[in-house]
Amino acid sequence: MGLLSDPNRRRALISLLTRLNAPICVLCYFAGVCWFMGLAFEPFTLRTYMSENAMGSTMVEERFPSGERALATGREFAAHKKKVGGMPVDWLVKTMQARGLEVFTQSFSRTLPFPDENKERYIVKGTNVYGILRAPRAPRTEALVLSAPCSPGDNNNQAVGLLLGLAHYFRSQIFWAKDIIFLVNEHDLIGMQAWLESYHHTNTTGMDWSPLQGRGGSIQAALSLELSSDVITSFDIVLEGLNGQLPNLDLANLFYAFCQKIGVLCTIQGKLQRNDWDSVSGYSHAVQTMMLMVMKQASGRPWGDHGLFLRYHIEAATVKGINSFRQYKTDVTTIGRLLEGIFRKLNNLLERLHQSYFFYLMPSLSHFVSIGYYMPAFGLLAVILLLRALDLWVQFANPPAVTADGVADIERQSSPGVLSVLTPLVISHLTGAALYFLPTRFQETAVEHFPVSETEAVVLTAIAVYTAGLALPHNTHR
Amino acid sequence: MLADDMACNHRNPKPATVFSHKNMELNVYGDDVEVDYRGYEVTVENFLRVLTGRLPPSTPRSKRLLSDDRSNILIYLTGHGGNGFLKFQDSEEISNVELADAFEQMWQKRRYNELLFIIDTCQGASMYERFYSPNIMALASSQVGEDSLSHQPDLAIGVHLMDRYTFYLLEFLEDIHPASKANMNDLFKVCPRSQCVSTPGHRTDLFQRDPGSVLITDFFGSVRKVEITTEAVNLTDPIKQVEERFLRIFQGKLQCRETCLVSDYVPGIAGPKGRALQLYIHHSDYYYVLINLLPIEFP
Repeated sequence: MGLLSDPNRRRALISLLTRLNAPICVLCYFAGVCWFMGLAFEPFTLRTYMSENAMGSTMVEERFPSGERALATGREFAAHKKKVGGMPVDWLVKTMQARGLEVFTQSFSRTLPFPDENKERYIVKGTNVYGILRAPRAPRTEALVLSAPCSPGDNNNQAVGLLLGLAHYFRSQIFWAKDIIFLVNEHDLIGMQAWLESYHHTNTTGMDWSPLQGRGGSIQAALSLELSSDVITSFDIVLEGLNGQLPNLDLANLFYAFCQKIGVLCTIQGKLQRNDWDSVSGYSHAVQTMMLMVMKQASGRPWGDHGLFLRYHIEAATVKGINSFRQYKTDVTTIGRLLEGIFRKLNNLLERLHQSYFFYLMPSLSHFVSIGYYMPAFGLLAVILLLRALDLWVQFANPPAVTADGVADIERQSSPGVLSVLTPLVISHLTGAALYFLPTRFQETAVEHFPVSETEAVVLTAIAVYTAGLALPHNTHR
Repeated sequence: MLADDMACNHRNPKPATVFSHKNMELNVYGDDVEVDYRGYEVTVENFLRVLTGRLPPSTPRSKRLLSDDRSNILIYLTGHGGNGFLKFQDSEEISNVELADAFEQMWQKRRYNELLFIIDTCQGASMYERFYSPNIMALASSQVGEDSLSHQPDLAIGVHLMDRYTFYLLEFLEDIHPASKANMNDLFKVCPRSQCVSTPGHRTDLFQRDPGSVLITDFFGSVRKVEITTEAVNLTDPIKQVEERFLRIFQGKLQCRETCLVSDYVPGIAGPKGRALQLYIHHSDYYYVLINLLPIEFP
């Protein structure tokens, strides 16, 4: 007879379950945590490798020559930005047109739920400027995007300069099989969201934007560039996007492959790679990198302008140039060559990136852990819930006999009635609904009557609902 | 038959050219290259139909093999392959058994005199193992269990330009001119293991002549054999035949003055293909043009 159909064996198994329930749960918990921590240990990870055949090797000749001119363009951009006090739309349009791109602008405005801290205004208005480099001989069915955000102050001027320099260089090549869109977006994520919504003809956030006059084909990959200094010491890649979504691992592999070929120091999570994986400090370094990635994904916010592309199934990453105190400095021409190499390889794609993993963790740039390896850790934690539930079920089905001296007097615990189960259920749902709707509804009233700001009002309303929920007898009944 | 158009691929920085080496000396996609089956037309079915001749009647002549029992045929295959198969278009394969059977069909219908089969794929020798028809000579770039390797990358383009065996074969054949007396034994020596890394193989047991006496120009260079004969051959003029038939029928019986339908009088007559025929009757010092006969084809 089988394990579960033989009544004797079944009873033995169930008694084992109820007797050892707590120890097994504790064991599963520790096993899950240890498994997860162990993932950062290098022998348990896999080396990254290019899965997409079309992007096989880094076999391409990069010839981008004009890094200095890109920096000069960046300085011009900074001057115009300061003069205009925002995004220099006319100058950008003129410069992009001079480089032979088809230039279009898009204006957008968004009502913020909370007023902007600096300007105390609810409405954010801006303009995106983008130029399309049409593929010389190909039909206009696919596109690649290179974007740089227009940030206030002195940030990202070199990024825009490099973008324009690359546009100029790319325009003179004839081997592009996809349109390349060079995008300068204002107000970071808001501008990027407006552009993407308009490009894909959706309106998920309720923003106001003007429709795009010019369009490329379906976007295959996107790269967002952040560069704030003339020379850099390392190049960082940011993968985490909105709601913790990640691009295809092949994009990170491509970046790493070119970093190695050109000899630029590349980092992930801002951390350099170490060779001493068997030492304690090396292992803790890897654990830190991996946990940073986990936390960034858990926060749910996109960690670069690329994060919004992922929702439209466009593989995107942000590359940041970091200038820290190191001896070996890389100039803008080398960065331009790296980006040129990446774009040439993306140009070779015939299909969307789909060969490599979509869910992974990276303890370093050259090693990764796929979902098949990190999910069992969560599985072990979920098994605890299953065990506890089974234990409760067994207890309800066969109540433990309470024996007194002499006559056995078994108290029958009646199975719980519907009302006693339903009431906490309804109350928790109501509390959830209150938490969801009340803070935003009562925001204005709270600000009127209480001396709090809008953000504080929301948080305080949530805390108030929670405290009221604690006062309910059913939720605290033991 | 070219499945991929690499010369006109949008990513080719040197459009309309395929060079054998990055020094750009030899453009193998030059003016004398004719591609009859391109893109999605390159399928196993089409390939076998071309070989065996089982093509629909509407197929143009450029897409037919048009061979007879005196034709020497050269078949060159390259691509991705394995033990006993060659890959077509990422979705199908041709096996060595199918190929051998196709060649046997060709032999039975006397569609070739001699056949030279060259294959440059991984484990290429497996493709000629199953041949059983006479007069076939086969060469392959690698043995079973070996990979055929590519030659050199061109970094400006980003791909490898040519496979090793094909590269050295091309180098060898560039030196052969139509009057060359080089024979098949020289061809077998092309690309030894030191150059090709894989071991090229060949098969001559089905061939009736000794390979040493088979000239390379029997298969390459479009060198035609001219046979001089001293006998007289009688040719009948097809035009004269039609005229004689008409005259016999209409002798003295010309009634129709307008243009008459030929079929009313002589059903089934046809002019020789490609020539319009004008028939006249000489009667009572007048020439009567009956009709301009337009050529029709027999179904």
